[in-house]
Amino acid sequence: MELTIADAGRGLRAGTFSATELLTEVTRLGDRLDGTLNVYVARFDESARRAAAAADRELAAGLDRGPLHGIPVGVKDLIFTREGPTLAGTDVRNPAWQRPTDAAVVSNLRAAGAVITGKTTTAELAVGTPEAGRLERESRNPWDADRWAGGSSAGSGAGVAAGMFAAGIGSDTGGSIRLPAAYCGIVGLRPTFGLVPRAGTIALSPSLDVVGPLTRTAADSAVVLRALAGADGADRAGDLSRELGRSLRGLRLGVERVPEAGSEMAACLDAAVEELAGAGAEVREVELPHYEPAVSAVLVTLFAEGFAEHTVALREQWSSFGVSTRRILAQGALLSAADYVNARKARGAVRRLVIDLYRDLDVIVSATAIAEAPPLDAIDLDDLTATIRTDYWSAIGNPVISVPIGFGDRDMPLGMQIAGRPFEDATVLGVADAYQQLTDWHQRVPPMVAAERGRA
Amino acid sequence: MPERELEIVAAALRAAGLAPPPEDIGALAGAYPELRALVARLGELEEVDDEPSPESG
Repeated sequence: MELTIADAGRGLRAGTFSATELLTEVTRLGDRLDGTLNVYVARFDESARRAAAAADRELAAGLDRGPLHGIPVGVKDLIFTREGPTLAGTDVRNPAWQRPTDAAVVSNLRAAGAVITGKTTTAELAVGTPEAGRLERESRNPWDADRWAGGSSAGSGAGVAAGMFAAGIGSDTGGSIRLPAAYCGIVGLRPTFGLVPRAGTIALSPSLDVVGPLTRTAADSAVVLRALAGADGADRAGDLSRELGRSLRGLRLGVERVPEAGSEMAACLDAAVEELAGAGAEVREVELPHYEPAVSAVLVTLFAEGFAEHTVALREQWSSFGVSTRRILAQGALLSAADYVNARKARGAVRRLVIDLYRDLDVIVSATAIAEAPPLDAIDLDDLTATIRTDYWSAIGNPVISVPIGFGDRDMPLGMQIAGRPFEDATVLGVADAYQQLTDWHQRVPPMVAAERGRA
Repeated sequence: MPERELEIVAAALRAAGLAPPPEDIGALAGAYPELRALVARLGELEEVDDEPSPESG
């Protein structure tokens, strides 16, 4: 069985194992696999041991902090932790990233009892792509170590898929949680924009960036999102677990199909929709309004805001950036203020059209990416951009979750997005949970992980 | 590489205080037409953008 928060929580409370034993187990798995996968950029073995021991003492004394009590969690190395500096996958140095403080989400996780196991690999500044000469920095996919784990929250995705922690924390600007989730066969949630605090997270594009969870199940994502959002977020989105276990009867479900999707992706999406329809969802085909302009607006926004965030470093440390990163960010210098404003206006226009679309729908499903994870040494940015279907939802800020729905012909996972109305995160979590009750894709284990467990 | 794109890009980078090496300027100039195409695509939404601006009276 794979490590889920729910299962681990039951084991901890039944006394089957302690938080310290759970940490030891995942740490050993990390020892054996991370030479191949490169999930961690820093492991916090000492502080994690202390946190797990404290969790055990608290449980023994009757203090239970809730479902994350004693649960191992990896944090993307774009998010500050008190254990050490944030490197953000770059050679660029910024004194502001050195401060040993916890980001708001890390404070929230610790308060909920989570054991922070370390910092996970990120694409450079959450925007770079794998490039020759720097591939040793990338996380590799547990399903095939020659393939990419996705970006930018690569380590958090690969680590969950490999069972090295029960939840990974990522950030998503144009798809950086959903893409590694799809490529690694796990669940990734981009929460409603503004639901989760970002203080202490290095910004890429402040009008697009969100922080969110990567987990094995939607039910686990609800637990982690509740902790990440903190009290203020809970006030805005309500009980995030309220729709777990829901019926799909009468659910109004839109399906976006794209002709460019490969036959395996199309077949998996068809099968997933059939499952949902068979459980009572009322399905109809939809076209996302102004798809191409919305994606253009995301890219223009990302270039402009990313350049604004990193202007000083680009001026002073140009050669410290990776080639792809500096060429992406510098495009912001080639845009005018009017271009940026027009992108913002375009996003607003699409947002209003999508509000209309949701008058007759509860959720919309679509491919997360229309192709499986590419080989790490053969990534072409244009090809990649053409296959990823995540940007659209980033443009408008709705909650969207990626769940595994099968495998392509190279036995690599494929994912489906389920998108809902703003602040109806509980609905997308509930529909994703219902789908996972009907299927077992999320219980599949990468062969290399199964082999390591067999040796243990 | 069209000379005009190269000039536009080099000037914009200079104005932004950036001093990349020639190969980066060339790559950015090569990507410049696609960047302008992205911006042009935003215009497709002008007709549905009927939200009054905050500045309008």
